[in-house]
Amino acid sequence: MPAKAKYLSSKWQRASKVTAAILGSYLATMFIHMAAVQLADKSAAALMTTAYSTFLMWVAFMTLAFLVKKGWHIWAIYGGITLVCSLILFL
Amino acid sequence: MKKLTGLGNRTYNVMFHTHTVAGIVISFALFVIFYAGAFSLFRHEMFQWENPSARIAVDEHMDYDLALAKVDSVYNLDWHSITNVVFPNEHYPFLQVYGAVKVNDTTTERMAAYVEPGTYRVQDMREPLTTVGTTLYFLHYFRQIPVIGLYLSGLVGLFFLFATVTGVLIHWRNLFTKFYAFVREGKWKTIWTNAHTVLGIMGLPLHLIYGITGAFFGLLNLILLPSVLLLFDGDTSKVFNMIRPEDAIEVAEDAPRTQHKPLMTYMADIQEQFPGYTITRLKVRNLDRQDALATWGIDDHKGILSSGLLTMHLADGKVMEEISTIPYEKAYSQSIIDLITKLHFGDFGGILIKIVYFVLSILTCFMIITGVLIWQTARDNPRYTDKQRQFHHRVTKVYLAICLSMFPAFALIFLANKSIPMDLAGRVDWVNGIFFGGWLLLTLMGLRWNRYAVLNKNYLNIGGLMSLLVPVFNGMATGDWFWMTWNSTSWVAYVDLFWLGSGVVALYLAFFVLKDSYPPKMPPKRAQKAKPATKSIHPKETVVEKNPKKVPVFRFNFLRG
Repeated sequence: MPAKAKYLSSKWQRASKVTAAILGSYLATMFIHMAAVQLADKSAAALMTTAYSTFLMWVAFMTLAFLVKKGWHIWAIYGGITLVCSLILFL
Repeated sequence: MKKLTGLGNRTYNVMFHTHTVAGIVISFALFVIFYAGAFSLFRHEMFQWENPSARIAVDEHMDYDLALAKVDSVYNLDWHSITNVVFPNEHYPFLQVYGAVKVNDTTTERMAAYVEPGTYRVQDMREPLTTVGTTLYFLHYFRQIPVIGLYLSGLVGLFFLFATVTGVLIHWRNLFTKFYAFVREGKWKTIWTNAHTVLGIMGLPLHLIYGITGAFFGLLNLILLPSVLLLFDGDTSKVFNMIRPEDAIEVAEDAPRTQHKPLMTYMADIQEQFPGYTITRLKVRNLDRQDALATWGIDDHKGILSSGLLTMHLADGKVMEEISTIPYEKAYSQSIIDLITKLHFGDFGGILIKIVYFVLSILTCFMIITGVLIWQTARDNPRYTDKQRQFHHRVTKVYLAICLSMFPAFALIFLANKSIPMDLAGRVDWVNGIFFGGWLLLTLMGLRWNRYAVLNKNYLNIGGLMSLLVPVFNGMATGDWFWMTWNSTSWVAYVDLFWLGSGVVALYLAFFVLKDSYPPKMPPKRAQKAKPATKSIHPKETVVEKNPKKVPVFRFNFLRG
């Protein structure tokens, strides 16, 4: 019953995936949301939506992080999302 | 039965593994949260049980202005800051006041007190007379752990949501078949797995609600902080004013003093406008001045959007429509936080919803336990070394001891509440000490019971006996036996009867239903320590073993699955 080891990743891959799943997902989620609130003119409705949508997106990203084969790929994706959204935010 | 398309092989194994790891890591913390949370749902309802001086009817004619004046005379309130007043209700017949006190010109301190009707005696709530509901409620979000407790509970909520999502993904294929898998036969691993999946699917709505709302309450700061810093120039009040627009209205510190109409007149007006609603609380600034701003909380406690906030200047007493929230007519942005709160606290649809929440929460506790047992049974076979299997066994035993001892420990805090004299100084610390000390002791005792079934039965026996004593202790300490309180202060009787019932059920299960024989085969014994080499008769001569046995290195590799 335990998961088959051949599908699981090595130590370093695992470390990078776990950090990407928790921290990378958090950053990507927050920046997507902040960019969205910014684009929505900081409306109350947009801001209030973040109260629940952040957690759903965070967990979705968390799940996806483990499905990508290489740890640095997932960091690249979440880093890229963070970068693009911060451009929207600051420009 | 129809099967859904499942995940691919690799995806399935990866999801399975993350589900296992996330589940094992949070399991006992999640159990504590759900178990304490289930009882916390009723923390207001059990207040009259825990504090005998609250076993009075609500005084319809209580003079709230006089009560506030009394509090002011004790604390010298800073009325310019927000003062919150919670009106008496059938569970909590005192008027609660949460206000601010000026320490010096720049800083204020929060205060909390309640006023008894009739005598208008003021009691500081920072030094309460009793604690049961509060202790269990604080345990629910680990408030006893300074600073990080709340965040820890929020993270557990987040990972619970993660475990829920991955759990649904891996069981997706069997979603329909498993739903009917109420099976008590077969191999133990199958029984645990079926119980885990059935309860997981049955509780899914509740689990999603609690994953999201629990993470919201615990991790709110993590979500707010970046937005406040990057979108609102670091000004938190801008965000909070959006949520509570009445707080954005300025009141002048030097507005002329005046005496407004008694609060009761405004309340009568509101009652007339909103028949069937209860006025639950009041938020007020500058109560003693001309521009006094009051926000009244109303609720009919029926629907999920039943709460409302009516803001007015006391000078004219007119509800300011543009910033008030009217029950059932709220805008989307006004509804969200109210919705999250109502869903989390089960504060809608009356007592029936709370009972459903309670039952589902206790079933979730069972689901968490079965998860740990699946993990253990799936690893209890010759593919693992004896050392590993011993490790799995010990982890499971520690988890079970912490979790299952909560039943007797919770009965113990109810007993402690009634056995520590009411006039003993620092009695709340004694009650908390007995609860946490007792829980620790019970956990340590459990580590000596090697079979899970024995451990479970012993806790049921201890807890069952203690449960039976709860109504007896209450009757002897306060004279209020449950047949006497049944009609007057019903909830005192309900708490007594709950413990009486749970005691009977626990003892019945322990004596007549449960057997001693789980796990059927114990994991292999821990390897004996190697015997020390016999002393050499020549002290200087060192003994060299010819073929030193390789000592197996013990690795914490349970995360590898």
